Amino acid sequence: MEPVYAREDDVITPIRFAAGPWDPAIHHGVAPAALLARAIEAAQPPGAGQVTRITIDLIRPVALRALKVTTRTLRNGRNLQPTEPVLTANSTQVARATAVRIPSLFASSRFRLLADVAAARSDLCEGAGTMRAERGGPSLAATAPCIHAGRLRPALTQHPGFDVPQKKGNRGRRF
Amino acid sequence: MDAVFEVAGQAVETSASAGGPWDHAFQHGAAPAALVAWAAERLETGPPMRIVRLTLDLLRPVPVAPLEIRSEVVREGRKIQVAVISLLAGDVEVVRAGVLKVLRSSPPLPEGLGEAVLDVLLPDQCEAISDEQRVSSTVARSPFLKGVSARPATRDEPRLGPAAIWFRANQPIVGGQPISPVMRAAIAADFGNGVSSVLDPKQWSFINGDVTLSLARPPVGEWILVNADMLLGRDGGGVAAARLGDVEGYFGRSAQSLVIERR
Repeated sequence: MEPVYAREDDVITPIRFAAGPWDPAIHHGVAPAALLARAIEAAQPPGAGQVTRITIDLIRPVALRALKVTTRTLRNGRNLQPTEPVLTANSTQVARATAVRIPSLFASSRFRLLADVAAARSDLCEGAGTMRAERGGPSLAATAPCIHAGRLRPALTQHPGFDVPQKKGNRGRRF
Repeated sequence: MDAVFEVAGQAVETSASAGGPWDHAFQHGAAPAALVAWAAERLETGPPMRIVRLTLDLLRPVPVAPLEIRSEVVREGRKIQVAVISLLAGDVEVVRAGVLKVLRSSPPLPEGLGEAVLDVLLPDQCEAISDEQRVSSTVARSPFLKGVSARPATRDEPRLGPAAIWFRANQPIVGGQPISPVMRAAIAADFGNGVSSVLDPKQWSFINGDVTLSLARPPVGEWILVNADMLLGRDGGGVAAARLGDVEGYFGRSAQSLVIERR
């Protein structure tokens, strides 16, 4: 499968599937988000802890051009290892992330887990192809090239979307 | 009532009332959160904007000691402003915060869409948490919390796990300045883990390494609702997250990344 980015040394270039829904020349937010997440993981030494939070500032629209990522570790603490990768295009900051990492010291501890999953498991859901057909046309999000490179499965049988005003040739589009 | 902080230019004096629950020599996370919110609101914008998100990375324990505020606008856009605000103790960065502001406008939204009504009692229908209850709680033994009123927003018996509590900050945060609703929300955002712990705080610590506040609309009034729950990983990580409300309904969310340790 064709990748979203090509990499040569430290230059990362979008190929075809990075574009978003609002403008074909601009990245979908998830593509630089994935790049920044990769940079955070790449910055950690082997055996280091898990990432517990990533916050991404989309500083300006990320054009479909060559990008560079530089990462610095803000602190190499015992309990916390915050990291800050920055994405630049032509030396201009276009996105930056801050991440919190904690060391995996407690892998054997047993905690009560409180996660309630009210929706169906992804392997029990039907593909988004069905969803799109049922909804009478692709949703706004689904028009993005970046989304064509991924898969969607609605996890609720009663889709909690809302109707948008009807346009000609658009049977109650939902998203 | 003395303020938690006195600010002159970039220099901040900190009073003992900033002290946190784990060690009184270090600040409660809510204190720097309120200070950063105050500094963020003072950052000028071209067109009128408001804060929609604040994320504080609590890089190190924040000492009850003189601090310096440094602000940098990373992007001054037409529709957004992105800024970084740091708190330094000596030359050491102890807090690094990201701020996102968005242009204030009035899009013609359909009536009632995207608003969330409260599913709990209003603060004037609730009883105050008694001093006895507060003293018995380890977490409440924080000097900072002496300046904060709390009222449970349901009639449920107190227990570990998800909870909804109203908070009102009474003590001035910055000397000579009112506590803005965004500062109140920033304070409340750091209470999620204390409110919703699934672990007994006498046996466990669950310090947060960060706090994030997201505001769908500006909060109003003095009382802020924290309707929180906590998720634990099996490897020492966890997340406390809350829906934040005021008397008009829910207005935003907060999240904290936790470091879980046996005491």
